[in-house]
Amino acid sequence: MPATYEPIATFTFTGAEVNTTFSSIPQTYTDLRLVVSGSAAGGGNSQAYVNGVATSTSYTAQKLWGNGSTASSTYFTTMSGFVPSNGSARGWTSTPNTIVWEFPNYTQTTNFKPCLFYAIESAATGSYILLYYGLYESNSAITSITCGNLSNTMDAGTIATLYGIKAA
Amino acid sequence: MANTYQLIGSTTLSASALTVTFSSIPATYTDLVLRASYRIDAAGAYGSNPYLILNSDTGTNYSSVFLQGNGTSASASTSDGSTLLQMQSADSAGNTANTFTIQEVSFYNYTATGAKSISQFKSSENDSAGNEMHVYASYWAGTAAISTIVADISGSTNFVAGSTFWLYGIKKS
Repeated sequence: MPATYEPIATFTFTGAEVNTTFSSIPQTYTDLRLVVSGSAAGGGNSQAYVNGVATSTSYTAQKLWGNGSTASSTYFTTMSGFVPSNGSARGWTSTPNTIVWEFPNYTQTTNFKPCLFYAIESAATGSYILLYYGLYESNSAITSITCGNLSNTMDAGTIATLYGIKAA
Repeated sequence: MANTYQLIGSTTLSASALTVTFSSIPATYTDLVLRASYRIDAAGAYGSNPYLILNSDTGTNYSSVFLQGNGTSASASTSDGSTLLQMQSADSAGNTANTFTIQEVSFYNYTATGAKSISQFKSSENDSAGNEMHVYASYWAGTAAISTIVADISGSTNFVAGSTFWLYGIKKS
């Protein structure tokens, strides 16, 4: 059976980096899946942006989130990337968080690029779930993705892995 | 290029059972994914709540927040300091016959030396009578690599025959 879920690249943070960039992404898959799991004791918003574009007019997103007592939804017309903690006080902490970004049909050049992403902000008390459907408003194929933190360094041991998913 | 989504083990029940166990889980992957299709024999609709126990830990080390929707309303709830990892309501005797709950549980960076981040997506189907969907952010305070996962139900309830559990390992390279 052919392998259809393949690692393109992985990066383990050493404690000195704010972000990492996966560049020269092969255009041979159907979808991309990016998983970042780890922590940042200094806090800061989690983020991913594509093709080196981090301007607020390039991304929009619809958010559904819950904190255990409240569930709500918000639409963001300006984002500087796919930022799961946008519009909230949430973000990286010293406890383990996991952010997953899914980029379907990332090689097409005729439409904007959707992204389904979600943040699992785990803690002994006060965990959060944030679900997003976002849009990168460009017809360009995705060739690079930068991920990590908007401001502070990620803790050593945080792992970022980019996977490619093939239709066959 | 390496195949990174590998089946570690699977179990399809030929008879009803109280528990399903995956043990001696290799520490050679980046993440684990448990996929399950199951139904329980509790009375009523969504009659009982299965759960997971990691590494036989029954201390107050599990926390979860979840979103729930059933087509007409949405809600959120939390379970902090629990002695088990909630999987929430499952299809049972009062639900439409032959409908099974499907669930995916991801254990990220499961060999890390700190606490573990866990996500869950679940749909309990009830055919035209209505469905339930849950999304979870979960936390386990255990600092050891996850080596054993037990799916369990309290009381005299069982997973019914035909319930299937798959455990996958995902490698980063």
